[in-house]
Amino acid sequence: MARNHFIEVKNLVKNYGTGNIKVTAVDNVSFYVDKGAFIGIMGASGSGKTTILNILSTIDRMSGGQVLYDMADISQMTEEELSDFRQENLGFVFQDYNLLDTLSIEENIMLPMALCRHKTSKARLKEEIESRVKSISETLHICDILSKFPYEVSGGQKQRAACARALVNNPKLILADEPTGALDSNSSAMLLHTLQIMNRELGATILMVTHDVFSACYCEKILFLNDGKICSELERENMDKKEYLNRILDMQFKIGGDDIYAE
Amino acid sequence: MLNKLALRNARRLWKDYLNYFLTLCMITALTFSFHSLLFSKDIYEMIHFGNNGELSTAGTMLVTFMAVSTVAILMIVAWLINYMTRFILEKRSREFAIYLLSGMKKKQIAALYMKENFYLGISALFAGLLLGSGLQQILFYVFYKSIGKNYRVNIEISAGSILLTIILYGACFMIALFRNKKKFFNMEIISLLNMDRQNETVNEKRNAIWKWLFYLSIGNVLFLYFLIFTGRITKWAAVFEMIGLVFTFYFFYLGLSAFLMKYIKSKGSLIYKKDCLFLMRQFSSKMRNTCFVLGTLSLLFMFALVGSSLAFMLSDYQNKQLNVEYPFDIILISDNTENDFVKEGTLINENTVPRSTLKYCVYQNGTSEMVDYLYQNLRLFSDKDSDPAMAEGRKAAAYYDYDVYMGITDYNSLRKMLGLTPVALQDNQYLIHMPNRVYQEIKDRSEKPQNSLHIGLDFAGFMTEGFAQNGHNGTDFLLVVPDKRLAGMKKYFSLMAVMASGNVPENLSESLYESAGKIRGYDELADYIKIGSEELFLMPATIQVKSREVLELKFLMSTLSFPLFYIGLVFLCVAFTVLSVQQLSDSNKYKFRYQILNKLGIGKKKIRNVVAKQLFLYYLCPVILSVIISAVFILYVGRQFVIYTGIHTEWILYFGISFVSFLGIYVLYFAVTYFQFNKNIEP
Repeated sequence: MARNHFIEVKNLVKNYGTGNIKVTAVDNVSFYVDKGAFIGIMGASGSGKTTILNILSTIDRMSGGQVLYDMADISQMTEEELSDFRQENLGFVFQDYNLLDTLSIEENIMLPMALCRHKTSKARLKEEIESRVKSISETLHICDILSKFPYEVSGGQKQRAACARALVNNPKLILADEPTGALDSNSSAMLLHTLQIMNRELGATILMVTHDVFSACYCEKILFLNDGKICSELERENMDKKEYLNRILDMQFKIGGDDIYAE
Repeated sequence: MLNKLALRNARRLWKDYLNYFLTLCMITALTFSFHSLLFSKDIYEMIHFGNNGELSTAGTMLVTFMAVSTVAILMIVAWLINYMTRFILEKRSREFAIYLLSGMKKKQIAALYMKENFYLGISALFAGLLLGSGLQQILFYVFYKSIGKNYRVNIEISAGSILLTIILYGACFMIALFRNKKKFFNMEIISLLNMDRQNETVNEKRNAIWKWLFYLSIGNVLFLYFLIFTGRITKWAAVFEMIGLVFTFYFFYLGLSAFLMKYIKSKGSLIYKKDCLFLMRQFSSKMRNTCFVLGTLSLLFMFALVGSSLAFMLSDYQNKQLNVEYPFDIILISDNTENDFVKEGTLINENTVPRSTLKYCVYQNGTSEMVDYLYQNLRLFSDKDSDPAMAEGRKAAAYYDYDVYMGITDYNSLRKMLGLTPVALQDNQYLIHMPNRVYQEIKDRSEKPQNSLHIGLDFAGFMTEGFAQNGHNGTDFLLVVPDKRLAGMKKYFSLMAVMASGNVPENLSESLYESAGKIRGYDELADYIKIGSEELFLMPATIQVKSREVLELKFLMSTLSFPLFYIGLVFLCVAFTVLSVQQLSDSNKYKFRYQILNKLGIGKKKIRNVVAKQLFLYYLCPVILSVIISAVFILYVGRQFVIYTGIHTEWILYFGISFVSFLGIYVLYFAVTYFQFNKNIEP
């Protein structure tokens, strides 16, 4: 009997354009993600990795195929059902943080909780939100910046705040799109460590799109995309970090990401 | 090349700032059509004396009020254009930085920007003039209707009106553009590049202090209500309250913003409710950054509401009161007690068909007890002159020297002419006939007029119907006595009252004045006739032809109400444009915010809901403050109106009508902004 995975992507296709001018961004891609996994998707620019992420995050529609979350097919959902699904199941971490500049860090984190439909009383809700924000902030070491506004903190702190916001509703899946793209090396390392904590200590399932090799080596499995197709997969298994890093670099070289060795 | 670019940019400006363009068209149309009133041939004839080119009282009023409203509008339109050109400049700062980087000189860019705005302005001007010629017809129709005349469609485009509109409009544009030109020369590329990227910072400094401004502003509004409801408003209280209101308008938003920020900071329970946190933060930071603009908009809304309510009040007064003030079709008074009005009678017969005519006299017995009573008790004369000679002079200017008496037979004949039921007086009785306005003022006084009179008759009561008591049948009062009692009295004035069965030509008034060797409008002011405590009817007239007086007064009222409507409309359009453009221009920033909300699981429908709430809050805020303040102003003015006119004025009705008309324009601008906003934030 076939095993049920948390996310199953079956023959996913995404075309752009109309009439004779059609560009296939994602071409018949299939893969799965199990609960508690930390998966990376790598590929050169235009390989279709962000398109896959957008479809998985339900902010873009697929042209063909299926995406099943716990056996529920998102391609059959209406716009409003998708919004509710997003609210209840997904958390996002973006390259440019996407924090609201008029809200303090604490308010940014609690916003997804406040926006959810709640059946609890006002007082209970307040208590719940406050304790949840407090515990996540402690785990991600951002308690001291909670009262600040996004423009008053560093990029790394902003990204950790974005992670906290992604986690606050206990989502089934966290989608990270180039989360270290705008960070310096120190902040990147800290953020990746944070994602690792989220995955290992808080049990979050993470799907991260990146073209940064150093970031990718934090994932336990990496899917390599080329021209909209999965051309290879790599699992860390028992490899140490150095070996894993080298294998990722080799893989990139093989699939045509030779630009990183060009100079 | 630059011309082509300027044209293309102007086209984009037109598209991006459609609301601004439409408002410019609307203001031009309003300016043009309202000024056409001054240049219309018919109206020119109405406001000038014969052919000597001198303005009549109504004409002076019309020109003065139009000039005052034009200055007010000029100032506000200059502010709008200045605000908008600066606003657009900031929004397009990156584009200008790219021009600079491409090698264009600041001077060229400034010229380009001026050209673009010139194209936008000139197209709005032409569209506005076109729209204005249509609006002019409606305006003329309403104006003629309001003065009781018929208007036939007459396309009369006056060069003067066009020129005046162009000059006013051009001056506003030139001032704004030259101010902006200066700004260009002081700008650095880096500041231009970063201008539109500047974060909307949330300034929470001094919130503890600013929060008190909110309480103070609320306190000030409550104090205003207290003063007006308890009638404790004095000259000095009014001055301080006015200063307080300016303070309220400009600091209320700063205070409200601080109050909301404090509420969010102290984790009030509302912030945990759905989109409340998002909305409150959006709203409070926007309010903090635009508190001055919001204050100005509230003031504009207030002027618009007060202006149009007053205009409605005046036009209602016009409809209700003129029949009361001028009950007879023609009434003449002469200080020659032997005057038999033969000459006048012939003239009247030649011009109209009299239904009933009465020649009669009023009498005096050398006493002035009633005059003294009114002078002592009426509010108008309450600030007495300390100098007895001055006080005496003032009394003499308002009232005849002696109390005015009339016999019951003449009184009942006049009542019959007016369709009123006759009254019966016993031989030992008298009655007082006075305007309702005066009666309302004295009826609750502890000192009753009948107690001050020593006529030797019993008081039978008051009558208060309209009875030509602005100098003809007495001034503010008439003592009606049995005919026998007149025997011991002296004839005071002789009068003739006429009710016509058909129309009475307006120029009969001039003819009657001519036959008396006088010029209407000149000599009447110097005449012996006294108008008492009447303040709204400034024209004492020995010869009163109702059709002429009504026309003139309706015209006078219209000269007041039309500029009020004019100001109200322009102020409304300006205020809504600023609100709308501000929101639409920020929609890029908001697009990003709403996209985040969408990613956080808020569906499109709910986002449209949040947008509606955001816009509604932003639109509502300046409106609600102005409604609260203008309502109490109108209440006060309404009460004063009752005092001065004696007619009951439904202030709430006029305020309601103004508010509903106001809401119509509000809904229009709100809908346009809402749809454009949703379009702008779509991914």
